[in-house]
Amino acid sequence: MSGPPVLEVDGLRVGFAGETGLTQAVDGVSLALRAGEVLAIVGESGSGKSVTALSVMGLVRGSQALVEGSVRFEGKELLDAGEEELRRLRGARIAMVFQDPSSSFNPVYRVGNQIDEALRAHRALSAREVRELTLRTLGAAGIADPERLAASYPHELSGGMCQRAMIAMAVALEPSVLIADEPTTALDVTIQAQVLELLARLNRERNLATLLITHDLGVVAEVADRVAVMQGGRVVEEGPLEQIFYEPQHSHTRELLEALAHLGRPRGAS
Amino acid sequence: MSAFLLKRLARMLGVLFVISVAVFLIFNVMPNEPAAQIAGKSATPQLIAQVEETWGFDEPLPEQYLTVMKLTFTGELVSYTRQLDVDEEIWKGLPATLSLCLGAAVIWLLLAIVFGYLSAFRAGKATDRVLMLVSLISISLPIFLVSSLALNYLSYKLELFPSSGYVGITEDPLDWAYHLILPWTTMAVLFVGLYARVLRANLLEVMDEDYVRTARAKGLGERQVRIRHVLRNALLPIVTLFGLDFAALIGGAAIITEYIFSLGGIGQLTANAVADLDLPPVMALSMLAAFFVVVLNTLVDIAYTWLDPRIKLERAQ
Amino acid sequence: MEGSPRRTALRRLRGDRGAIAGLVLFAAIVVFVLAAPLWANHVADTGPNATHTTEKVEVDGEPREVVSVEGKPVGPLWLGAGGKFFLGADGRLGRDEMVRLMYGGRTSLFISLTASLIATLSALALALLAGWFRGRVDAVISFLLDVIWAFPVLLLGIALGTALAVGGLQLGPLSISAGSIWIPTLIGAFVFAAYIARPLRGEVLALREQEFVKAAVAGGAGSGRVMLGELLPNLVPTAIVLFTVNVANMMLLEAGLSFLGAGVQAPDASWGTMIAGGFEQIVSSPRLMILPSTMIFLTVLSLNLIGDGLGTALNPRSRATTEAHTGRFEAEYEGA
Repeated sequence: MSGPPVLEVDGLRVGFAGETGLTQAVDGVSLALRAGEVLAIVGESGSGKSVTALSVMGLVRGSQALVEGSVRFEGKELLDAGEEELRRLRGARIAMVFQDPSSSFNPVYRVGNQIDEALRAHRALSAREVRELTLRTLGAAGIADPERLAASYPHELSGGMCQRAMIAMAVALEPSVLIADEPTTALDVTIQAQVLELLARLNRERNLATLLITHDLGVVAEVADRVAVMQGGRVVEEGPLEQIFYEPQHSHTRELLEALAHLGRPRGAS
Repeated sequence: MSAFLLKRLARMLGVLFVISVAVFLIFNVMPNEPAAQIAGKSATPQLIAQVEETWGFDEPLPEQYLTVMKLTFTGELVSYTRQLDVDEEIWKGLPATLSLCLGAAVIWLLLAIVFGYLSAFRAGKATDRVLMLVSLISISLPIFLVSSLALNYLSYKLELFPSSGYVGITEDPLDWAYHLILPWTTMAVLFVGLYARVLRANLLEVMDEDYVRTARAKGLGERQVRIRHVLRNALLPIVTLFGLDFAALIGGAAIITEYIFSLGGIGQLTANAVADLDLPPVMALSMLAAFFVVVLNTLVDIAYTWLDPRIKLERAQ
Repeated sequence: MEGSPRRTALRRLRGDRGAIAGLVLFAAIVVFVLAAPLWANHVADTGPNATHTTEKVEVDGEPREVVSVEGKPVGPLWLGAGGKFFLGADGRLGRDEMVRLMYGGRTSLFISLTASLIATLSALALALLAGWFRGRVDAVISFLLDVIWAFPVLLLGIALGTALAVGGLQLGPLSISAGSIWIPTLIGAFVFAAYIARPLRGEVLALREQEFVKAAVAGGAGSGRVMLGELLPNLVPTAIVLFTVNVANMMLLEAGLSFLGAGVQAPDASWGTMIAGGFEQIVSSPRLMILPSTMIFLTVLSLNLIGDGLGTALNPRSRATTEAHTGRFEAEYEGA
């Protein structure tokens, strides 16, 4: 957790042109993610955290989106990079996992094929080598029977298995940064813990800088090193985990913490 | 899976049976004087009596039904008006009809995929608007207008294409295609618009799916995303649609197209029989067309479970 | 949210240029067709069936034969003869094509509108019964609908039309003569009732799970009250869209049937019968086939525009696929 930041976001502003004018989803966000660090971005829905994550990957391009500011990966500016450059980074150097694992895989192809596809997009390997790598990564993600999972269709797998497969696909090519957008929100409570444990392990073993997007402070407490709190498209507070939890400076941070304390009932009953 | 298959087939047989009953009712029970109508306009009283006997009009209805079904399925149906063996005529006409329908289908599917794809991925822009306008016009065009314009200008005035006749593919493939170009285009025009619109709607829906976002996020090229993920999934409902439409062609567009272009297929057979109010061929062809629709739909349903892995699970549950 | 759903729908419709164009076009066609007696009596001075084979008409002072010796009818005179034979004569019989086009349109439109109305109302009833009561009622109704769907529309129409063409229809007290235009009308109503019932039934199935229906039942409403008071009003928007598209479908069906001889019978004329007559003279006088075909095209186009507009206005998020097309004769509407 040292050295220059692997990912830098500087004054990021993202607006969407709609029927009622321009909506500013992200309004001047600055963050830094260092190698091997887990940075959690917390906020309620609509705070702009997901849009921030998507902007890093260049997935918010389009005629309706207005993106300004700077996003630098390993020193290289991403916001004015060409599409082919971004494509080469996606999945190979910066990877992303999403909230709903079951719908994040294409339902008509087997899971193994979809992971193979990701690998083939970046490496010139033989079919056998690709499949070996797929199975190896699935095993490393804690899957007991990688071959069986690879031969399955997404709807045949449980949420937890799907998310493990998704994470495996993301880290297969040893990226420097993993962005996880609400990775556990759609899962059962017991599975949530397992997936978080997997993310923590990958972060440790591979020195994988992780950007964790979530609205759940409980999740943050388990894995994050640093926390950035977002509200209304802005970062209202940022700091180490302990500081955020024990000495929150901003009122919104305190609100979120209070909500967590008041829950007092088993989570998963939203 | 096989339990589901058996159930599906059983249902299909049930529908086929009821269809045969329906056809029987329409042609043997509903008309005012069925025997006379079957015997034809210029029938003598002896002929009518003969028809009454052959077709079992003196029997109670259930037996009559069996008699008529036996006639139909053992190929003994005869057109009294034109002295023809119905099933022979059907066999003779099949190649032309199949050539027409399959050829048109290939053309319209290919064009629809191109138009739908271009429209969806340039949604809102000029290309999209133009193609959608063209599609709207195409689905409103009656066969009569397209064929009359084609015949008049391309065939008679400019003499670019023949106006009628069918040449077997085994006789002369080039001539076969040459005679079919106008009929193919006439039929395809109507369906290109429809399929392009449906595909465009499907593509727009699939574009927003999570797995498309994943595909991009894992670094696939845009074209690969569009074809392997968006198009592939958007084409799925088109398969069922096509199954319905192709089967319906035989009893719909093909009849009129064959008649207009004198292609001599079973469509024209139907048209001629209708013009003469000749019941036996119309009865046989109605049953044939309906059977074809049911069988083809069942096959499409079964194929769909193979194409969309999710369906298997739903059925099993 | 301002305004009732109906008002928002109307607003959206008003802004939809395609739908407005469709409405204007359709209105123009209706006016055209309703003006038939006016035109016939005051301009063309003849009826739709009156023949003028051996007559001559004065064009800019010069007499011209309505039908030449070789049997070729005179082409469009436009206003050259004061409006007589505006679009020319129709073949050997020398009838006024313009007058026939207008009167034929009346027949076609009447059949299409009436059949669609009957079909839609029947479909509503069937959908409500099948969707609300489910169980055996639904099984029977759905099965019968399946059987009807198995028949390609045109073919079913042909089958019924041919069977009824000679002796007419005798159903208990109901007796319709063979040449009546009610035969093709009822045939169309019968066939399309099944096609409209399908999406409507789907909507009923979806609606019955909604809160307001459950509330009504909990409040003690009987089946009749629920079906008529709760479900039916919610079906009306979809039914209107389906009706509109079905008029177009029905036009095409009637044209196809009449063209082949199983629809409107002589002496009545419809655009379909005119196309049949025109087909025989496609080489010598192509306009005789092109004119009625174009009228059908314009009518179907306008109805498609209206149907599309209504579909998006009532439910912009739905993938409303509302089309009419010759070979398929089917309407699909999917609510969101």
